[in-house]
Amino acid sequence: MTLNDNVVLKLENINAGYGKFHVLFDMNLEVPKGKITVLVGPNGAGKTTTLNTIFGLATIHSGKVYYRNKDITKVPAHQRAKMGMAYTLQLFNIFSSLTVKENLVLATYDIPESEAKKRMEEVFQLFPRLKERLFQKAGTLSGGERQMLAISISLVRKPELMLLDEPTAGLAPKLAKEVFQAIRQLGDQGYTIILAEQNAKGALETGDEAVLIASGRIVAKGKASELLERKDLAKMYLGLI
Amino acid sequence: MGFAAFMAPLYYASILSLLSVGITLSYMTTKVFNFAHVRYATVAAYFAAATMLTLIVHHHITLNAATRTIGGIQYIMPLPGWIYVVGFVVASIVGGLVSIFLYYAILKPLERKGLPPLALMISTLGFDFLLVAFLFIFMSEKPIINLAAKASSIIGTVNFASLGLDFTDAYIRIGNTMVRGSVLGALVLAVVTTIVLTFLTRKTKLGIMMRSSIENPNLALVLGVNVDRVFAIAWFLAGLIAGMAGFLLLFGTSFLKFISPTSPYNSIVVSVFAGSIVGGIFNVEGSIGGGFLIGLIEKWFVPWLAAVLSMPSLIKYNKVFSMFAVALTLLFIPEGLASIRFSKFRKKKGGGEA
Ligand SMILES: Nc1ncnc2c1ncn2[C@@H]1O[C@H](COP(=O)(O)OP(=O)(O)OP(=O)(O)O)[C@@H](O)[C@H]1O
Ligand SMILES: [Mg+2]
Repeated sequence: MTLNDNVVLKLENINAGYGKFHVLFDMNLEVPKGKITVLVGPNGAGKTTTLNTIFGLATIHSGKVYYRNKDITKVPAHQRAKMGMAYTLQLFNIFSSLTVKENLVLATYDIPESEAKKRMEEVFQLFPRLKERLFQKAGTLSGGERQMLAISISLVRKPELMLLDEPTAGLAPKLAKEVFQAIRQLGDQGYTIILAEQNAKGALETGDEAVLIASGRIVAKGKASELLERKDLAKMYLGLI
Repeated sequence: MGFAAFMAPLYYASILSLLSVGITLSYMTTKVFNFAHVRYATVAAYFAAATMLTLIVHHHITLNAATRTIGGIQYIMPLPGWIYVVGFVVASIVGGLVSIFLYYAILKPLERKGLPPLALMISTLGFDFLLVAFLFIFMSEKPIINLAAKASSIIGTVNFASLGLDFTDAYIRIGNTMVRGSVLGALVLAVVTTIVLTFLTRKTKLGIMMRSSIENPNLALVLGVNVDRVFAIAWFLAGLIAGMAGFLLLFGTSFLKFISPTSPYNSIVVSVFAGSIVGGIFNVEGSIGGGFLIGLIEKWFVPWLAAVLSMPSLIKYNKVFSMFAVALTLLFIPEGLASIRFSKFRKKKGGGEA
């Protein structure tokens, strides 16, 4: 099968979960290139599991995952990272015992040093605060700084597909807004991003495309701005009204 | 105290170091206490001895007990040098392979089934029984390779007992004492292992991958680190080092006694775990130091105390002192001696850079 050049990733009839445990049902999804695709839905809906399925961290019971025209359903997670995918985990997404700098060095362990240095500078332009805290232990960063570092760890790898899981979780509204702005900036630079968020309003305002997941099934798809207007969905699933 | 008496505890301490570090390496990576670890040394020693003896018989080598001199250094080397090298390599590789077998064939499949670390730990105990059974097959009344018979036919050619020397160990003159090659070898190997492992974990890409995989396996995985393989390498290294220790143990005791599954030397496992815990179950260098310390407690401190208190029977209970050291460590510095030194070092370094 060949994907349209504008489609970076495709899920085809995916049934997946953890071991025998079934979480996702008949999921079909196409992720367009250079766009931010937002996954929204209530707690336990299966947003993280969808990202895990894309990255090879969940058990696929049936269906296929395609990435850049390749069937990657059986490719192990660490190889997906080498293929240009990056994943900012929902929890434990930085090395707390290491400094900010060491975290970034680690994230670029397979990239030549001079190139890694250049990329770090680019990341600091997006998150200048990190540069001021280069030698601080990551475990002592504030919530916002942690999320910035977590995103940076993915970003220095210059991914072709970036998965972000709840980057604004637990952040004060002002900080959350800063993080969403940074993500929008990345989208404008041409990064292909899948953003899973509980904060539906902020995410839908940030994203281009949107997918609403509930109980492991896709219940709505469309432009992010359109989904934001759908009063029925907002009430039922997103707690916006 | 004579020089030889001075060296003997260092030999024991070095062997413990080499075994303790493997317990720590495998625990750090998979959070599994490997109860089969010390048996690697026995199995590795068995294969090394079998290979060496086969070569000795095959090449009609006779033992040479003569004192020779090179560059003014006197030494005795009963076997040709290459046989020692072969034995060493065989022991190391066998140790590594046995360890990697346990990792891939038993631990990984069980882990994939979702079993917790405790269950994996019990499975290492099962694997230990398997290794013991293996040794029984080869060391029983009708073994497939009869080491004892081969050995006695060789020992028959030179009467080492009358020289008061162990029949296959080499000796080097230091001062006016002939020091055992295995004793010197153990010391050198403990030092070299410390240096190599320190360099490996701190300065190499593999070390960086290892440390990140230990702290946060999932994050390492999404950054492209093949965590399973990195852990397998750590387990291989642990087995490799245990194999080296096994090779050295061949000479420190009469090897026939040592590689028997019922050998009294099996109780060394207690001291090895003590070394790993006292030194630092989360710290490679710490565990090497811990093994050394426990060795010195058992073979230096306890005999000294026994002499001072004129209670010679105390020596029999030397392992009680190791257990006491473990209890104290777990009570006051649960992460081992290395954790004290380490936090101070880090603070200094952080302050310097900031
Ligand atoms: N490792 C796991 N093993 C077994 N079940 C899991 C695992 N991780 C998640 N689940 C279950 O899968 C379902 C979906 O969880 P998931 O984490 O994908 O939801 P989510 O949409 O990301 O929720 P949240 O917004 O709370 O992060 C939940 O019922 C959860 O309990
Ligand atoms: Mg989630």
